[in-house]
Amino acid sequence: MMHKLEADSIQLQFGGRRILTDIYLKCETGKITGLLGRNGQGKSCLMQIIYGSLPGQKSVRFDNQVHFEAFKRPDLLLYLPQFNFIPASLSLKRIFQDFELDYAAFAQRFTEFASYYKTQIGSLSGGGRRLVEIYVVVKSESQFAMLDEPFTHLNPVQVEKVKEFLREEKSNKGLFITDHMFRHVLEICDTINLLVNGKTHLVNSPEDIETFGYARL
Amino acid sequence: MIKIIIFHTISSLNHQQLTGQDINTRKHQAAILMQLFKTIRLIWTFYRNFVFVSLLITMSCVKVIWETGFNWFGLLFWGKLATLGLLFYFINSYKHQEYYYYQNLGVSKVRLWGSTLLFDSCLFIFLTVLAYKLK
Repeated sequence: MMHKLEADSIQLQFGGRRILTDIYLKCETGKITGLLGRNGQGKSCLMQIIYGSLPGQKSVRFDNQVHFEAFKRPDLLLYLPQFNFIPASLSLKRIFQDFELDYAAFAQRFTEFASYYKTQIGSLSGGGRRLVEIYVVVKSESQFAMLDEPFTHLNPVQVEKVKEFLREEKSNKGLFITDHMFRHVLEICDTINLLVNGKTHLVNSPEDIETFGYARL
Repeated sequence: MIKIIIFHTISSLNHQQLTGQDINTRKHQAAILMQLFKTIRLIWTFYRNFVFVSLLITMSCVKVIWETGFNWFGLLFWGKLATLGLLFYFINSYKHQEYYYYQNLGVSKVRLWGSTLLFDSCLFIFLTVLAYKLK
């Protein structure tokens, strides 16, 4: 079933400084929507406002229905923050039980985890920990998943595996991604938005990224 | 205990001749119980962050009540609330990233704190009153 997430009319300011003013984002089932922007432009804040964990003026609609606190509806939206969010003391077994996911399927895809079923997530490497977090957020049953810097801490092999995984999973849900590894983002996203001076700009061609001063291609 | 109830609810479906509607109702009930069990387990995981310190403070208060009677209860009660406030500040400062884990599983920050603080306060009152009565 197709679902649509739209966010607009978002306003955010810190101490009189306007961070977000003119935002329009759309994410649909079967598509990966990317968000690029320099540091401090408000990408993470934008995600947190959509998720509802950061208060701000907004209009966030799931299939045209307004939801102010999406974090109360994991069936609608799951969020991967840019930092490790799973308590370090929990074992992978417990995490997969909580998210009602099959560990065997995970270990089959990421074979290096085959013997880590009862291992505490805190004892994994940074990349391993990130991989588990990405997997549970993307694989769990929800209409949409927002990933804030998913490629951080991952080695090149893991990045490629995650990209393949995201391409497969987009058939089940809408994915919304932001990351500074923009070449990977460009490669997997169906739609790219660039956040500049509080406004989102739809990127029609990779050259736009250079035009808006985000990166040199 | 809840797991046993869920198991019996599901297994009874196999032994009874039930209509389709009954089966759906039982499955729905089992799903609700399962969700309840999961929520309690998540709240307990969160509570484990400060349960040891909190119990230590509660037991110290119980000891004071046991030795000196109920005269100090008011002071101890406000002292206990103050330490809970400090624990709240500490967890919010050093463990705030973990809130996303619970939120992604459908348990909000308000529910985590509401249930743990309520339980902890009730336990404090119960144990201090019990100490006073038993003495």
